[in-house]
Amino acid sequence: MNNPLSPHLQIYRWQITSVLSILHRITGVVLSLGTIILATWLLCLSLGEFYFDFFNYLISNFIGRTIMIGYTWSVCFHTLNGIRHLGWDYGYGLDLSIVKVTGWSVIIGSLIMTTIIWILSVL
Amino acid sequence: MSNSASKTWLFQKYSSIALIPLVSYFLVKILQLSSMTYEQIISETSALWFLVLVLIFTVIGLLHMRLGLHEIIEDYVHSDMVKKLSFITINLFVAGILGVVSLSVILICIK
Repeated sequence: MNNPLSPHLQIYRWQITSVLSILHRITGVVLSLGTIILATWLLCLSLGEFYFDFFNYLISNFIGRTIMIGYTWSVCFHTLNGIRHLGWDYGYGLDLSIVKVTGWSVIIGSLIMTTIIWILSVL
Repeated sequence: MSNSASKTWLFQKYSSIALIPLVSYFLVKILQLSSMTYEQIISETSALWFLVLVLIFTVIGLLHMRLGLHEIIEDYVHSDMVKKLSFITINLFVAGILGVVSLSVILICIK
């Protein structure tokens, strides 16, 4: 039987506008959870060298590095896209063609920033 | 601009403006610290003005976070009970992070 089905979310074409909007929220939640890492880092720093070394040991494996790089990208993306939102609040960049250009700039810019930060941290 | 929704919106706008230089500064600072020894990091971070800046960043960041999470809860949670519990959880989380950061700042200050 070929009964008609209700439209599924997957059939809609991905659009930069909606993807960035949801990514802003996802990175916001990631940053919220990440405050646990930042606060723990500061606490370990204040407690002494032993704790600080232990913290660094915990984040130096593959999973730890992946989380920290993802966290760095979330900071860069949320900040750049936040600037885009601020522009809209003041009436700049609301034209759909400009929205797409700034959207792609935020994606590419955040990836470049993350790459530069991690290359500098390794050097 | 007297109702709470517009006040919330205004605070989110002003806090994000304040967070742009703060986030940029701490990104660069953490990057600098990452290449230092423990003693060097302590001497770099124990200046009073720096610890005050850490607290300012923490307070503004946590308030920005709290409002953002509220916005998400308002959009996706429809049960009043779950909504209330989520708001309590967020407040406890904010208090916990602020407590840990304050304790750390005091410990670094008296080092």
